[in-house]
Amino acid sequence: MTTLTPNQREPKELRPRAAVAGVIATLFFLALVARLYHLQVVRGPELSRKSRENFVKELVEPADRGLILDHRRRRLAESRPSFDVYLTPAFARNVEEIIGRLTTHLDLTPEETDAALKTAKGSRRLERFRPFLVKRDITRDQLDVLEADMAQLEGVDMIPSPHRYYPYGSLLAHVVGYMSEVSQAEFEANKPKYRRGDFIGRRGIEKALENELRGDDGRRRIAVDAKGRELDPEIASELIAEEHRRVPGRPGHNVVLSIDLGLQHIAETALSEAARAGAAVVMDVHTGFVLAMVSHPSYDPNKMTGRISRRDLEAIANDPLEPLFQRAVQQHYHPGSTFKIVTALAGLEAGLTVPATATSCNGGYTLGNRRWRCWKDSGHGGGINLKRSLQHSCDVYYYWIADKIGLDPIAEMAHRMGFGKPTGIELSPEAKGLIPTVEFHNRVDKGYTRGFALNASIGQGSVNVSPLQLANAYAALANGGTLYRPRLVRRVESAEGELVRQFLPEKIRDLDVKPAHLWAVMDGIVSVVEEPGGTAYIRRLEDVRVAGKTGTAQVAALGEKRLKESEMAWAARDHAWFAAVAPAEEPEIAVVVLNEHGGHGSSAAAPVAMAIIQGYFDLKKKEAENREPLSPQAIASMRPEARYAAKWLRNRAVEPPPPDPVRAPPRERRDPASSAAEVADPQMLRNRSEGTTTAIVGDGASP
Amino acid sequence: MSLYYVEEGRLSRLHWPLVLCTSIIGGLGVWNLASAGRGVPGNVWSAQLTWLVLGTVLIALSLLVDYRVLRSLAWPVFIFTVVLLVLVPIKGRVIMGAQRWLEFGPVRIQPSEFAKLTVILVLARYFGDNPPSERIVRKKKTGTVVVGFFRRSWASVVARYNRSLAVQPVRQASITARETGYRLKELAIPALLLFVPAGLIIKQPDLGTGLVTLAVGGSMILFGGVTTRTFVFLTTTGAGAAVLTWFYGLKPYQRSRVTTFLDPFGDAQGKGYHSIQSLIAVGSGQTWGKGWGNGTQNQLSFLPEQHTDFAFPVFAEEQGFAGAAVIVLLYLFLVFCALDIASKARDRFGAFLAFGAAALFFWHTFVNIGMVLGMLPVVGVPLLLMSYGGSSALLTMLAIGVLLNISLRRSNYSTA
Repeated sequence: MTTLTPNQREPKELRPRAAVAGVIATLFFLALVARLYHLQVVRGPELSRKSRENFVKELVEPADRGLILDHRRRRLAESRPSFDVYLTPAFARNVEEIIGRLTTHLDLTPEETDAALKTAKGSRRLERFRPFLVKRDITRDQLDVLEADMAQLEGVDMIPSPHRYYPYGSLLAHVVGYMSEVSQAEFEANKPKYRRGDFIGRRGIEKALENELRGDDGRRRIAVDAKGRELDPEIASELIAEEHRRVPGRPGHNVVLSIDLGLQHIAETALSEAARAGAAVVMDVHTGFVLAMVSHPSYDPNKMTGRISRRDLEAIANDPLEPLFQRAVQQHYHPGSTFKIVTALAGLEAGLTVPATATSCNGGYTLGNRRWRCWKDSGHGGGINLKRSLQHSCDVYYYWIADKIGLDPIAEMAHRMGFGKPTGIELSPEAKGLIPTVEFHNRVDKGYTRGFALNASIGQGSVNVSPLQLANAYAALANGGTLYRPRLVRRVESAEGELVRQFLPEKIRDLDVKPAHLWAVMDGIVSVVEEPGGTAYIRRLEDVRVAGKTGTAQVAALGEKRLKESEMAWAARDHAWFAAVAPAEEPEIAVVVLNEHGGHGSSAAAPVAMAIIQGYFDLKKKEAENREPLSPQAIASMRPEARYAAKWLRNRAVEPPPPDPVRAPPRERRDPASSAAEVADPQMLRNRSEGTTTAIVGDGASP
Repeated sequence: MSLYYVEEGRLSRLHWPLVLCTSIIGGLGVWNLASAGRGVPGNVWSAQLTWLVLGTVLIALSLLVDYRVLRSLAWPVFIFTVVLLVLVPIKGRVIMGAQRWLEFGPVRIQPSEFAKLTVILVLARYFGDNPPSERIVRKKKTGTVVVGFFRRSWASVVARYNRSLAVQPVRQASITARETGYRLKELAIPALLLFVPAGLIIKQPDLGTGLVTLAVGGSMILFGGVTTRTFVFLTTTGAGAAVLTWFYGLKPYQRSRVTTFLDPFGDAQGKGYHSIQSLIAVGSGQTWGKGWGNGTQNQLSFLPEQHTDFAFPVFAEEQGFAGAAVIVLLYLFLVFCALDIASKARDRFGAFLAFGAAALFFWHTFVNIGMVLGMLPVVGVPLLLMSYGGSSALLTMLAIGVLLNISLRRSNYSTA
């Protein structure tokens, strides 16, 4: 028939092979069926669960962080609404154009633009559906611009995220601190609690009370497709049961500080006018609560919390004055003559001296073949007893004590008064300072000699203290001999205002010094301010009697010839100190002012301290008189520093302090305003009224 | 009787089971695509339906022509295909990182798809024209294959040993047997016909199609029959070649596919993603499935390529084990039909052609389903009739048409 194929018989020999092929195919396909059975029937439930996990996406609803309030409940730190800008590469058809638009709208720096471009182009596959952060915390105006241009901005999202805001900016930066993104290590260490990109308290109270402030994040579960896009609520409700859709969170607790913003402002203003760099601490002598704490120069924590540009950060980091440094707590300095109260107490307690014991000063003290100079070359003459030595700040009296009792009794007294050890305040890290002992000099120097004791006796040599330690020591002296742990936090409250935790004054120890000795030293430092010839006499206040001690701590070795201050480089000039308690007869507050390289304590530090003390009593008076907002007339009649503070307070205090939940009748002799801060503490009230502790005895017994 | 017309009464010989089976699979495939294609722009299922209908028309027309026409077309088609394959790297279009497509104006073709059929055709012609020679071989009555393999040296050792024992060596009686099957040197030409196009495809790189082509060609060679020696040689060299290819022939991404296959969860978000999502889709279907259009893996696009290479997991997810097993068995039935046609073909050419089609269906199905079930590495091999694709659908229908053609024209007396 055909030309198509050679004549062929039917290829019967191939049939068995076809049958074998059929068997093989059957085996292979049965293997497929077996695998199907294994996957779908045996592992079905497990893989079913996995398929659910695929489309259920858990969104975190960040908890509102708690507020930080001053003790009049003004907001020192709050969370304000803000928006972050995200871009999803997969949805942006023309990435370059869109990033170009964002650059103009958001004023992105070239680095930010490059980073965004790189991320957008570098992402592959599913990554392209993951939104990435272009700019954090855009301004209101920028948000408006973006919203107007949304039609052109494919794949751009503005995600609301509460942002930390410090209404008073740099005023309390060193106390309140700031926040920044969690580091990789912190993220790993706190994995369930923190997510990448979360903020964590970095310094100050934000760091110390991170756990209280943070709260618990809520969770929301939504259904998404493979591209991460949220599904219609209708479909979602089919896929996820209602009760699984939301797990509410808990907002963070509010933290109430002992800081008084008004006083803080007065202190900050006074110090910054007088000093290039320095610190000031105001403490309640009866409780250890810190009322104001200044470290100058300061920085803006708003900038440090997310918004800072590289240039600003470098400016802060490279500032030779190191504004990020918390000088009141983190740094230590030679205390100079403010340390003499320690040597004086050591001499009295050692039984070497009684208050009336007198030496004479001819301008120096000779030990071996070296002469230790008194600050006054001409000498203070005869009859230098304890009181006069403090009043005139005569060094020779203390050289003599040190020569007689040696270094260790002085160091022991210093340790008792809280020096050489962290005070335990909430802020960390804390400088512990340094109090040299014989053992220390044997170890570090080539061996102890008497000269070291002489140096230490006037707060030089290796003696280093932080301003906070010094304030705490003066507070202990003033309250009759009880050393309290300095504190910044009074209360922790829930967001609804319920008390969660209350911090009571915490006694570290009793100084265990005879009251008469304390009295004698107090008498001496009162004369510094209040008696003619005292080193701070010209700084005395009209209506408040103040006890204080000047200090002029030498930082550079003295040359043969005494240079005038103006002839020295700034960094070689002396640190000026003033440590005070007021009122002198019934102390309420201890104030320490350090003016770094400011020169003499009496001229560079004492005026600042006096302005703070004056401001404290003015505020207290005004508040006692008038709980209403201050009238302009009232402000006009105030002293300049207080006037400024009051005006500022009137502008700033957005909400009046709520009534204290526990309000007790004001105690007699004490001002209602200052006691209002303490009545929140019933424990202390009881102590005071019963007079059961030495602290309370000290209250009435102070000189 | 003319070449170009179906003989009277022969329509009853149309292989109806094959027609039925193809229709069922094709119908289920379109139905499945109507669900799987929802996340994809365009109307996938109606497009696929159009292709299948077009293919059916082609089949109907082609049935008018005796398949043996193809025999004379084998060589020109082969040369044409090789030319196209050579052109691909020179003029081809790069899509998804590989150069696989050729453009002729509006028509875009993928020569590698075409090449699979070409290889079947040209091997069918070669084996059809050249049956293996029959030889008389002497076989030892005793002795193992191994002994036989080292016959000369082993025998001398044994002889020396026997002599030393002063035992009369037993002369083993040999019997004669007829051995059919291709010897190695007879396979040189078919090997060339297979390796040239397959090598060009793998080079593109299109590992999946290349391997399927090799598997189909290899199956046809074995179907032709080889001697034992050749079989041993082919299997050992095949294994050796696989090892060499692994170390020298594969591109890193190809190698990583295999390693990911071995441990998909090691890189769950990256390269193992496809594999895992496919397993989840299949497994979450459980016994009875989530129902048509309700597969979350499919509808929410967690499955990659859910309308092409991963169409089967969509079916498995939505129809469960009950549906998926039926599909596998339907494909098995399809292979059986093709094998049936092969064993009843009127000539060697037709038998090899039909067997090639059977092998094509078998390997495509096994590799694709094996891949989506995580038994084989992820290589881009579509599931014929279920995966969406115009050229794939047309070529499948072409193969079906050839099968029907062969069965239509089998000898009168061979129907048993």
